[in-house]
Amino acid sequence: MGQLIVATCIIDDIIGLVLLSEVEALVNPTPWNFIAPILSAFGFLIVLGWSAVTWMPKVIEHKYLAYFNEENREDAAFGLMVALLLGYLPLLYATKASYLMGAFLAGLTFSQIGVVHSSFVHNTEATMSWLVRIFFATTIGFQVPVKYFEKAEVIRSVYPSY
Amino acid sequence: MKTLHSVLFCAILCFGQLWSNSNASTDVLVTDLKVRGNEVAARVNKLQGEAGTTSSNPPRKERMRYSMGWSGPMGRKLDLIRNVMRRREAEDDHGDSHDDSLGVHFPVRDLYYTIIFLVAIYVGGRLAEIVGTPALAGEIIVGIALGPPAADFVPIEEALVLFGDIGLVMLILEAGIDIDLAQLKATGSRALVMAMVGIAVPLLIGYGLGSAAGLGFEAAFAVGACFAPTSLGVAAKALNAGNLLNR
Repeated sequence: MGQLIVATCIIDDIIGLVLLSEVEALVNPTPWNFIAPILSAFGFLIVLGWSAVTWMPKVIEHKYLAYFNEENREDAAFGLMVALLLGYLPLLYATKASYLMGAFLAGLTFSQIGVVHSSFVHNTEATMSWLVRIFFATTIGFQVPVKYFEKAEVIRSVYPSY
Repeated sequence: MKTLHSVLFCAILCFGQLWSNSNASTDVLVTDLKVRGNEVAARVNKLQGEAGTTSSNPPRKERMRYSMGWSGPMGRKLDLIRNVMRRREAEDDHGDSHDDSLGVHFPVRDLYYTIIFLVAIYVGGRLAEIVGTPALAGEIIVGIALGPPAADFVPIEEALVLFGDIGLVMLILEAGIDIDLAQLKATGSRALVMAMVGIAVPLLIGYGLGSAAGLGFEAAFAVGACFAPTSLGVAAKALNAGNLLNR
């Protein structure tokens, strides 16, 4: 059940990232601004997503990591993942898809490479737990406009909806 | 000799004025120094005129003008004073320097409040766990309470949001790494249907509520989009906290 919910959340996140691009297009709502994020997001999902689960893991594991000694492979894989992340983020942002999808696709590329997950956890666990705490408290918490909750307009129109 | 004494006297006055007015703006003080410098120059000229040295000793007058001018020794001294005053102005009550040429600095108060905020996030998360809810609920509540929307306690909130966004990138990156393709293939069709329904229903409800409240298409769509996504980070943490993630 938990894995089904997680799988659902992953697909939900992918759709949500497309939706996020659509919301950003509302700033300048022209037809092209609505269509471009969908085309870009699904285009990259098909091309990079397909590559990430088919040929790229094999190339990375058998060609790239084979160059390194056993003890250096974790670092080499981690370095390549960061390089891919730094490449995908601006690429997807520039093409009007969400940069978060770039992060997702960079991670997906390494989902079948065993050493990466342990390396990622080993290198980032403590830092990430704090960054995620800060994310929930600031990126989410700071955006809640609590001062508007007591406004008559909000009380009149929003609270009855709940 | 009188001239020298006058210059020294005025210079002492200027310094005294400068140090006793440390809170005044630099420009005002420099203007004041210029006026006083001109007064000294006029007094010197007057004394020289009375002594009949104006026309008889032009090199000395020129030297004096040079000395009092902004490119001369006095000018350089005033420049030095101005730089010192700018440095003093760049210091706040706590003695922290904010001079850009010396690097990026911030008041100790900001550092102190940020540490308090980080501790509050941690404590909020722990308290939430104690009462049986996921830690992130407590962390979000602390963020709401101490953030700009409410108490506005947090200094340099953009920096914290930036770090939070880096956390989000890492969370999504980890979500990509964690994908179990075999599991996804097994649950793929059901997960896809659940995800589509999970997106479409809240989106439509939000859009409907927004439209009913009199909002335009863009605003109503934005309301629907806010309801739609289920955060993997929130779901994964909540499931993990309830030991349901791998069931």
